[in-house]
Amino acid sequence: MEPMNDKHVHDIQPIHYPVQVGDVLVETWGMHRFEGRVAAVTGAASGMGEAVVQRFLAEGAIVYALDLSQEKLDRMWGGVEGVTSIAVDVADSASVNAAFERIRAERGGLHSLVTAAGVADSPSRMNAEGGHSPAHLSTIDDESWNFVIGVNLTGTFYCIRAAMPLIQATGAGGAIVTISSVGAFAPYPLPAAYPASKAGVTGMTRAIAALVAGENIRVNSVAPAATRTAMLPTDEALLDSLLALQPIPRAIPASEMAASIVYLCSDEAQFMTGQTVHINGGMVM
Amino acid sequence: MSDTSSQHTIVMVGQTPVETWGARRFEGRIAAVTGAARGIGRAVAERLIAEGATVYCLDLRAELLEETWNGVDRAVTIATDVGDSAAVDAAFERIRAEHGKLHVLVCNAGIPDHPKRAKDFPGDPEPATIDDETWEFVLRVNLTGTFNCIRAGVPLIRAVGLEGGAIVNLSSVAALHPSPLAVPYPSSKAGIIGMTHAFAALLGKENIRVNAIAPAATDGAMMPEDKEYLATLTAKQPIDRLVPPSEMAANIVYLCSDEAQFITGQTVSVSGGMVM
Repeated sequence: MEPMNDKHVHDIQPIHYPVQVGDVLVETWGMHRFEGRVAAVTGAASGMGEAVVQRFLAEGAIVYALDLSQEKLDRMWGGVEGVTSIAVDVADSASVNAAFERIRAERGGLHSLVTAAGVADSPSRMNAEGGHSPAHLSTIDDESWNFVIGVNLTGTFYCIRAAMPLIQATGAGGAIVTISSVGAFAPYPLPAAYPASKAGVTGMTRAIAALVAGENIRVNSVAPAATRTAMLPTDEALLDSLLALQPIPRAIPASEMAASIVYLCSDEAQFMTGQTVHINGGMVM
Repeated sequence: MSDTSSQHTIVMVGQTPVETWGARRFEGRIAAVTGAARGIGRAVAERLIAEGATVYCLDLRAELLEETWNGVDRAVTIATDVGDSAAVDAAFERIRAEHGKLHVLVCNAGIPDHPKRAKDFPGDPEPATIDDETWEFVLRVNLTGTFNCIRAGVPLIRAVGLEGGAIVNLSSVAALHPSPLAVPYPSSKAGIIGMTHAFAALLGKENIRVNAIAPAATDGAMMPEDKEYLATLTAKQPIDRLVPPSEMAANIVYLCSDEAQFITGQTVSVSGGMVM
């Protein structure tokens, strides 16, 4: 294994129990926790959402992959067995309702929902690769603020609201995992809309967890630090300064995030609800 | 919609059926679990063994330890008082001599109160009744005992190398949720969170992860028979039931596994939502 202080070390770990999903080998450690279960994942055309879909499929789930662009969804999931892709804008409640109505019509219910769709900043402010741009308050115009809150926070709400009747319809309970961020917990000068939206997700997670616990529906959240996806800052100095805050100073592979997200969806975590699991190499304790 | 055909996989560990969902995350790995004769510690050891680990089962209660683990494959018992650093050092020296390394350490041994006062929760919370001996005893077992085991275990975990190792400490929802318990217990369990932070910060660069679990009332672990009292505890949980040790073990073992490779310094509250 290479030195641990190299942030470019990838997850070239041996895969002990590989399951082939499309062109990718997914580590499952031999588990099959989702045979015959139905899962929906937003932001499923790339990054964390993509890795969550892969892990669900590898463990036997039937997965609805939701993302903004049908073209990107087709490129990612076309021909992969067990996946149905639906183009949806999570910030548009009519679009979200239509997507979950389709799942209802096809499956009658839903066991797991992972709301991984999220944006780092508004497109007008993002750098070429999609990362964060500098944070000065006066540069965050109304449109940027509303866009980030609309996708990350309102979009998460729209999906949970639309999915809840489907999860209730299973009669056997279910699980929702939302994506917060270390940015909501660590003081760091990111553009403010992003940490604000992610802190909002944490509040929503707790409230909905308290609301539906009696129905055996669990709602938890994960708060990742820098994860190796397209949202990873491309500014080397910024990335270095972020990783230096972690006792484990590496960017997190998306597959690692997926492992924890899928764990929270599983019956292994039956007694966990309202929690935010911090996956951040120790940046926030 | 009919419920699922999720694939349950039951592995027998001694006489106990253990649900693993098919997972084999600890094949060939060495683990040590304290307080392993009963309750959460026993369930953790069972789950680790079911997934392929060799587990050193430590407990003060030598007879119970033998009764639980006698004849179980890949379970090795060492009667140890975690509050006695010489005994702890001797136990980990034996692990060093037999395997040279340790991948997983679960510091679970703990007591709710001084046994002369109460065997189970809630104990007498009146401060005037908590004498020096009671305070020192609970702190020594729960907090100092955890420190003794980590101090003795770290050199063995370092011997694993960059593959990494994991330590999980048992805190309690009592450290996070205001409840009028006898104060030594919540004090010791809050101390464990501070210790977890410090060791996580210290050991992160060596790829050794240190986390804590904060369980709510767990069935059969320090809990009295009194159903009414138990009902008042679980009523504080949005998920209103007493959790079995096997469920607590699932979460602890998850944090020990390579599935949680970037989780360190965290206190995971497995409390049915009592603490959010």
